[in-house]
Amino acid sequence: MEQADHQQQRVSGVRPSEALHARVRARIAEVEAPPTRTSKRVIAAVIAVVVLTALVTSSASELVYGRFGLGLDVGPAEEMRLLWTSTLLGALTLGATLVALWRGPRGLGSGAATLALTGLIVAAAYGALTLIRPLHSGDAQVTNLEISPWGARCAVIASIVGVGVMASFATALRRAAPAAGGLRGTVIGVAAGMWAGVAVFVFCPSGDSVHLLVGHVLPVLALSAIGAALLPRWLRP
Amino acid sequence: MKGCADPLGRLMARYAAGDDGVFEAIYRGLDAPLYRFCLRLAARRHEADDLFQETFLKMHRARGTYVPGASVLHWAYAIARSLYLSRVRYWRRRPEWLGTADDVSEQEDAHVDAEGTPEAEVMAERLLDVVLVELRRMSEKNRSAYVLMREEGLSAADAAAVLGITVHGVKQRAHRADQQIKSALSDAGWIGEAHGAG
Repeated sequence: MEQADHQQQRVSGVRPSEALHARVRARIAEVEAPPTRTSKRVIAAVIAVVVLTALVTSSASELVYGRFGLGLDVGPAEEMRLLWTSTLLGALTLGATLVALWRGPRGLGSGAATLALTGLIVAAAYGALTLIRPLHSGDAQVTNLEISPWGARCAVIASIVGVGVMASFATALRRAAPAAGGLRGTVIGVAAGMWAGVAVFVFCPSGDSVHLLVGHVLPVLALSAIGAALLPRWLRP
Repeated sequence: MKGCADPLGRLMARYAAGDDGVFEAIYRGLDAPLYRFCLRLAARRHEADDLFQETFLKMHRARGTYVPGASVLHWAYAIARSLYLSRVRYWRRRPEWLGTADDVSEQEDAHVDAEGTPEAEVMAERLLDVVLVELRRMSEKNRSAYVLMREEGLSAADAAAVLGITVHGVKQRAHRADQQIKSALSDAGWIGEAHGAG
């Protein structure tokens, strides 16, 4: 084996020809490459995402219910639950966003294990947080409101926010992920889904399981699948 | 550029900021190891040439994404491998573009130096033949892990980052490649001598 390794070292003398060097130079000269830093694009994307989520949520709230944040409106008995649920949701959203956008000291982004675990844990935790004992399940005020039983309205709001967030993050990370593109795409999808989840959490006061599954959870899963399927090619250099 | 001790990293940071004048120095710093890596990935020399050229083009296009302080070579390896995988996917969809899978003779010509004493040289070339043929035969996943860790000397963590897999995964792939090469050397009657040399 050591002899084999010794022999392998003999390839170290191999260099590309001068003709190839000239070809590389000629191709580079033909292509414009604006030196816009990814870090600046990432900061711009995060600002755009916060503004988009706030705008869509507030406009939808005003349009449908005539006031902002009905999803945060709970009885005194549920205030503590609201506090820890929103804290957990915020932590999941920020965590997924950080892992998706992190460039790392090697410049190759978050590691494969971190990406895989984040995608899995965040999506599962969000699903559990939304579907197991929903925040508004025992609300009396919900009965007076006209909420779409199948969650179609929430699904539309979640899709608008999610697709917007995914587009912002994908634009920021264009050509920036030469490794683990599939996992990175999935986690960008999960992060976009979490921002969509925040939007419908603030907007919607429903405690109905079917509504929550269709309008709040399925969009997150769909966005993750879209991220995994469409983003890798876009993210590769 | 702050905190970037590697001279190549400093040059790349300048190039990423739009200083095109440093390209030649970056090319000279990367050409040998990157070309070697391309030769290992691609089946034929002209494919390796194309891969090498396209890798530099992709690096140029993506220069704004370079993180100052990161290893330029590892970044280039990751781009070359990503490009190679894209080509493999393309070829799989269009099998008529695929040539013979075991066309290694041309590549071996490129690898073997013409120097050395005749006897040792013949032995070395035979040994190298076995290893190169086996490298060609093994899966791309195992070959990439082997080349990065055993030939290019990357740590498991660096190789894992370049390949976009876990550290455990890259170690496992390199180990499988080791086993495959050992087995091939054994079948060719080399393993006793290889052990003897150790």
